[in-house]
Amino acid sequence: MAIVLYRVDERLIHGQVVVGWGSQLRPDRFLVVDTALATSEWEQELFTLGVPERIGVEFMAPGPAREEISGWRESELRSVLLTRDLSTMLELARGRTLEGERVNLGGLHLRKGREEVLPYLFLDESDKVTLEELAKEGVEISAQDLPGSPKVTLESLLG
Amino acid sequence: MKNPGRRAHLSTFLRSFLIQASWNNRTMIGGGFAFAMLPVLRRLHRGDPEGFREALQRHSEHFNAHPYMADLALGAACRMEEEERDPEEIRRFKLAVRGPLGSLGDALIWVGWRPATVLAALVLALAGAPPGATVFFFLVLYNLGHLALRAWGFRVGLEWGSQVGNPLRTVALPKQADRFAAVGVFLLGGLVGLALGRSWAGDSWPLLLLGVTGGIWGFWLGSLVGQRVWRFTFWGISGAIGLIFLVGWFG
Amino acid sequence: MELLPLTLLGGLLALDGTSLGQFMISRPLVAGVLTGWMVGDPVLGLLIGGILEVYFISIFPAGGAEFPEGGPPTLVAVATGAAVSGPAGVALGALLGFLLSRLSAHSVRILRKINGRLAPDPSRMEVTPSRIVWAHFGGLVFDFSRGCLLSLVGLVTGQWVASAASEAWPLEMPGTLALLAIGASIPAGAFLGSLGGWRRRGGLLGAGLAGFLLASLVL
Repeated sequence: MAIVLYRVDERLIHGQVVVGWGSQLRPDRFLVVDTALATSEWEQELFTLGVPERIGVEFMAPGPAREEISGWRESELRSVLLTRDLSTMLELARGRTLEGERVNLGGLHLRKGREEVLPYLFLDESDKVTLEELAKEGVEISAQDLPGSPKVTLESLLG
Repeated sequence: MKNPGRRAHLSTFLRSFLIQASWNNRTMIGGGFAFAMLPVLRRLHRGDPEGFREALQRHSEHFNAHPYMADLALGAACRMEEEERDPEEIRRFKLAVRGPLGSLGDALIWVGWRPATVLAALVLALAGAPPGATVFFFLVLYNLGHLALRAWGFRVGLEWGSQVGNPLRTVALPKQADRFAAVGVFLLGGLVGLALGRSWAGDSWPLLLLGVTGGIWGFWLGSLVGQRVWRFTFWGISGAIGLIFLVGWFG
Repeated sequence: MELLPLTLLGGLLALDGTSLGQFMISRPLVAGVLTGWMVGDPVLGLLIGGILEVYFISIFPAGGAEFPEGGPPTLVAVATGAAVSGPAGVALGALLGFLLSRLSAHSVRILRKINGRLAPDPSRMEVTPSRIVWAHFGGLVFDFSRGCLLSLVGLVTGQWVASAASEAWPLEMPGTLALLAIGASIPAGAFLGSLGGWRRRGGLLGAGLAGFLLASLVL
């Protein structure tokens, strides 16, 4: 398996991902799946500022990304796949494309209507529905901000 | 372009040292960001309470970055406000830089600069420097880098605004971080070498052998597990010391 | 032992860790020597602070994650170590330091909850300058009090168990230091791991080790 981490994190490429998970998993590239970012060059440039030279970054909309996923999984390059919301991850997982994979919830922050579930995880009702649908696609979901932090399962997140 | 004046800029820069004072899980350093922006926003929206209110509302939204690198975002946000850019554009700019400024700062300072300077001081101490000199050396060296980074960040932010990616790319911070990391590893080796050399002179050979063997195993274990090993280490060493106390107490 | 000035220093060390400036006087190395001066034994402060520093070398708050603090625990470790002289003091000081450090991670979590209530939440309310400023200074006051409280708890505990501990510790100074050094090798290894591991950095590590070992034997 060459996608070493699937992560939902609003801050996308930040310290926890590059330094925290990066030093643990040693990825070769970050795959950022996001509709708005896929076409916005200036934002892409800013987002890639924090990435060391040896790690590549690709931005892609969810549609084309779905086509690429099986290739990424078979590739020798170790990838970290990032989305900044749950619905994009669900779009990727539709039709059980991510069956058996683990999706990591790394950071969803305060917004109108969202309640604190974990210090780094705020969810509203529609987020919870999306999570349940994601689980129905055969994906194993848990929350964990850093490799050294305790892992929280979906059951205890929704319970 | 509006100009809030040097004093407002200076005030914002000084306030940036307090940017993490209300660190919280909801907005992280959002409140700190707004706190630092206050002097500039006040001057820019003089006689426009509605605009001031809206700007304040926007800038207290969720934000996070490495505290030293936050100065760069602060400078750029001031510049964009001064250029009266579209609020939505400013928002998207902040969303785009909060991650990179975090990871750049974590790698450059927390993983690179701080361990390298601290290890240099430890090597100095083990070589025989007195306590005062050791601490003085560390604090001066470390904070030269710290203050230079903050001041540079705020200045380029003000100068380049939303284009701040350009100067940031030129200085290639990840490469600098990598250099500091290399220095850190070299000094870590040096620290171990110096400690070995000094205990060589002592006469407790069995103990030295025990220490070296244990040290090699511990080092190997740590390098395998990585950063997350600290929880285990803290409990493990506490347990070991506690156990020895108990043995001594009853034995 | 001057409880009041030490407690206040603990508050300052906590502030420097996150809320105010981060000039790194809160590092174990610096906190250790500062405390050493206050209790009249800076060399002991350097010894304990220097050892604890290695334990904290690879710990940092990436993206605002939970982390154990080094300042107030080092203060307690050094003050206790000075009160109980000899190897027992070093051992007891280190033990209290580690336990307090774990406790500090929890206290930071509580502080962040309190700050979450104080800090303006733009998604629910109108943000005013006074609200921002009050939340900010409130956060400073709470963080300072947290550091003081943490230090006070540690210092009092240290005094309380001091006499029992000084009788119970069976090891001599070299043995005590060797134990702490073996423990410190684990986070030191983790430091190498997170900086690129053996393959990328092993050579540099070896070069530093060999170079300094030779230098210390020759000079």
